[in-house]
Amino acid sequence: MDALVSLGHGFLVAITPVNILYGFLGAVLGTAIGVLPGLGPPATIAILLPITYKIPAVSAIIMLAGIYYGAMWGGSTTSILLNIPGEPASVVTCLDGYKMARQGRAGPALGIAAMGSFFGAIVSLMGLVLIAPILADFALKFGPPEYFSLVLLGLMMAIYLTEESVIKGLIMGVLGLILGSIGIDPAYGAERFTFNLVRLSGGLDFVVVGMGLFGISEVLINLEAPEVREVYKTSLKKLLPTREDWRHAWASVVRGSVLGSLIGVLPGGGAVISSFASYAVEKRVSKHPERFGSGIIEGVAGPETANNAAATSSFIPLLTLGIPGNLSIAMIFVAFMIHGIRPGPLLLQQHPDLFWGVIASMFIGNVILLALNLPLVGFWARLLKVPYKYLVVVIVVVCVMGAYSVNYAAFDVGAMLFFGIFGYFIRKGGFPAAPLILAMILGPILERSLQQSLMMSGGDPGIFFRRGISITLLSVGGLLVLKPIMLWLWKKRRGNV
Amino acid sequence: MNTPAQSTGPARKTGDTIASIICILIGIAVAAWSVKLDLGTPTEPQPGFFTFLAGASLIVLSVLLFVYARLGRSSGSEPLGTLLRPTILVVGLLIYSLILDLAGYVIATTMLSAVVLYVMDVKIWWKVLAIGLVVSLASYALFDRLLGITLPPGILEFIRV
Repeated sequence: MDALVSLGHGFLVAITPVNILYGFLGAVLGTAIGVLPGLGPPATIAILLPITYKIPAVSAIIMLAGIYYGAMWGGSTTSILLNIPGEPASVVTCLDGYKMARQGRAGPALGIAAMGSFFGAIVSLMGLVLIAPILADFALKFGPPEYFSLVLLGLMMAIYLTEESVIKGLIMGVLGLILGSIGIDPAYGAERFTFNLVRLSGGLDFVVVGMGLFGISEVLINLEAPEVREVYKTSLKKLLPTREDWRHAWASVVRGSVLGSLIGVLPGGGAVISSFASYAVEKRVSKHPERFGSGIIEGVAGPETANNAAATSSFIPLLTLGIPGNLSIAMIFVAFMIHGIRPGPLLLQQHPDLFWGVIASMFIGNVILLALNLPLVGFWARLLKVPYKYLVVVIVVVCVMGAYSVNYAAFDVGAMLFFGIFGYFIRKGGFPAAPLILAMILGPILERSLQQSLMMSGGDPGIFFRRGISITLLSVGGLLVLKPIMLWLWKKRRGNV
Repeated sequence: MNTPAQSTGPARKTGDTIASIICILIGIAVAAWSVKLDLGTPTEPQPGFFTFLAGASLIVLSVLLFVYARLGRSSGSEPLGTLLRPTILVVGLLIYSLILDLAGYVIATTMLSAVVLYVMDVKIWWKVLAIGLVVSLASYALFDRLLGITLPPGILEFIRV
């Protein structure tokens, strides 16, 4: 009940004209980048971070959150009409969505994607409203050992859930920890890895690194072979799914909402994994799994619902534990820090306006997105006709302007370029960028909690194994590490039998 | 659907071998620097303690990757594409970072936009220049004038209002 009263207060914050405006801007921008392939939510949020210096924290977070969940809405449009996913969470929508478009049923595909997205987001938001305060309260019991174990588990899950090559993910995670330690050590004041450069004393700026790794490297990869896009010409009339469509899709929408909400909470989970998981579940529970991939509405309804639900619930670990679970959320974490606010268990107590205002804005944002996406689907499809050659100019210019504005120094443009080149090569080499940036952000928290834990125990690492929450979290992390070995042993034993 | 091409076995083997050697060297450098910073003891960890652990972990993981690469069991890389366009953009951005303060935002950004458009096969010079100028002036108006992010005026300082 308290949560609903607080949510009501959040609505008072969210419905101020300025916050509605930023929420609307975020929703529009999010839909646009979701529609346009080549620039995902993490890159867009990273690029826009410097602009948020000048606006109030609540408005900034409302706008950036809108970009993230707005992109989930826009991503389905390109998947259905072009067979090109606007962003990774809509990859699986191509399988049946594009087939539906080819059968002249683009309207119902887009319609069910929008309605499922709305339903998934609202279910997930209700979960967020009910669970977040309880989890934040629980997290207040966490001491340094629990935080150390939690951050370590978060990093491990991010590595294990997002990429194929675990070893490359681990290498990137460790590199991120090293990059995060550059600058003056907060405990002792010693300079680490600064090469006597004054500009490095304050550490590497996340904005510069993020824009290089996601913005510039994306452009460099796209420059290798600019793609030619062709929108599949199909009727966009009759957007509302028929009663028959709903009869087939309603259960997928419900399952997608629950599954997405659960997966989104996991570190490393988020929208991409939830959409794939939902497709797999739908195929498994279907009486006609062989029809998946031929253009059936369940194949669109489940994943599109799940990715929106996950995008929303991935705010839970950020707002309650201070742990960003995926890249977009990590960039929003940086936005909090830019405004001098540390997300975590104390956020609810210290900044209730921000906490509840952002949650309330997501309700409003999703209503805006429903209104923007269904009637204006033709407009969003036409956006794809903007040639990439003009779009890329804007992306590059916004990147350099953003990097410059961090410290008003051309040095940061050079640093962004360095990380752009670095990002290009690591992506080509199959090294995931997500663990690097997550570890870079979480590294200082990990180091501080390790130091404090060891000081508490007089140098005894056993402290991590004697406390209930800590040992539970570490056990899950341990299972993740041991999983490939156990699988290998299991396969070997089966092979021998 | 755009699916990135996977690199062939020998290319991946070479790429991962080079990457693992670079990471081993970085790990050694980090560990050595950490020792210089002072490791302390587990009871009283000093500034080098955490980074030493990170450096040592990097060495171990990179050695594993090296072994995997040599055995041809590493995965996940894709081949490099045509590097001409990315290289031109990188050089353009490098020059941009060097001349930004001197030339000022509008001039430097017009030139950068022109380079990007050229790379993207817009070859009509007046079109390249016109779009470059529009982008730089529009972004200057938006960020400097409207959002208050002070961008370097450079040699156009005298016309700043």
